[in-house]
Amino acid sequence: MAHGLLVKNDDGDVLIDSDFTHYHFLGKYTHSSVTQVPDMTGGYHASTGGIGGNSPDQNKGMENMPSKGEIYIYSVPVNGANPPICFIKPTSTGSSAPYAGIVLTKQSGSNWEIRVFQSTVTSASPVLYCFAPLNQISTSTSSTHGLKTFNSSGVATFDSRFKPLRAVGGGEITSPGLAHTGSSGSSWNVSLSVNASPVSTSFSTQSSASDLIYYCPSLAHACQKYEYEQADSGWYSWKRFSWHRSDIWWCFYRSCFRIASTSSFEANYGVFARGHFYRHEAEESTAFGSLLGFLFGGAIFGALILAISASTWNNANVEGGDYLPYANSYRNTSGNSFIISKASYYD
Amino acid sequence: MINETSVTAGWEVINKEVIDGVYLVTIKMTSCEPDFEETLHAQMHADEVDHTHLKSITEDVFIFDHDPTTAEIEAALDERGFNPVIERK
Repeated sequence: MAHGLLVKNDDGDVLIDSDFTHYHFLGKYTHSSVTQVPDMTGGYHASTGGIGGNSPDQNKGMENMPSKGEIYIYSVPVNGANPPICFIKPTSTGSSAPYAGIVLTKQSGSNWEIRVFQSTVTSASPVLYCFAPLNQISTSTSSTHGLKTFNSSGVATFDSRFKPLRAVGGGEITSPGLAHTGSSGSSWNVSLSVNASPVSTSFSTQSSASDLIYYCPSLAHACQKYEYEQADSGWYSWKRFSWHRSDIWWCFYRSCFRIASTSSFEANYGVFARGHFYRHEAEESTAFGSLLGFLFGGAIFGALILAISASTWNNANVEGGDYLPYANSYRNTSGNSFIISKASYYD
Repeated sequence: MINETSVTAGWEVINKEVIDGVYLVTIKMTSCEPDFEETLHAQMHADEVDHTHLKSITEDVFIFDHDPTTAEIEAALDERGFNPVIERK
């Protein structure tokens, strides 16, 4: 650098570089709305009550499915090409706290839309502490002293009057692989809740966990399904019967994070989206038909048997299609960078 | 005429994926009632005797830290409680 300012700490880390576009405090934002991904459900439901004495009608909705997390939507006024860096001030910290992570950063007119996914529904809401380059901050200051740097083009790159971003910790964190391990269900009872152990990583010990804010966008995701199918046919109470039911349950999980202590950052999953599809076919001969068969035999009863025999429902599986992005796997679990800062620097 | 679904009990690997050394194996498990003796079965139909041909199929994922052998898959299936035979009630 022929001219300019370069400030380093004792470890040689750069604190201020006049050639570098530093991020400064833009503001503190609460969400404008909350949403959830709608459940994707559907099925073909024959009238099956009592057919064969065992045709299963239970759990054709979202019974036993894990609860979904919430998505908080924020609108951050920072018009410009560079997206804001948004830190999450979580609703709580510690080993029982929900996990949260940014799942979307999108320019929308003169604002940037930020979506934060939180693994569980809480009465309190996460707050965003946002930072942007100086040329995208429109607020002014009356303060007349401090330190301001410019790059070789004369563009301001650092201004101590606008609360530059201060990191107190950071590193990389890896999310778990599958969100749910072990059996995914039994019979018509699905079990896809998040039971993976959180992955923990440490950062420089701070004085108060509740004062910490973090930047760590959600990159990892997992998708798991459980499929169950039953079919039965035969004779039951003087009736010929046949039924066939197939179900697919699935959950799509996004990685999210929490401050576990004054020196520990944790990653795990929350249920982002979920679905259940089924198909159920059933048929039986009528008691009246059976009676006719008993009295007259021959053609009438034979025709009934043929009708039911043809209904063995080999094709009663759930229709082929893209119900879920992928099944029983995960993506992008490693190399998730995170930065820790303090809310009290900016409150 | 007896026209019923024919099912073979057992298991089948339907997908295997390796991510960072972790083997994600999706297995289809099929259970069914014991086979009827053919003559007896035909007689049950002729006599309209109550009987069923129940089968169930489950698909689930199993995790291994290496490419599992058949014996290791069967051990995992046992641990998960898979029984290829549905006992007739």
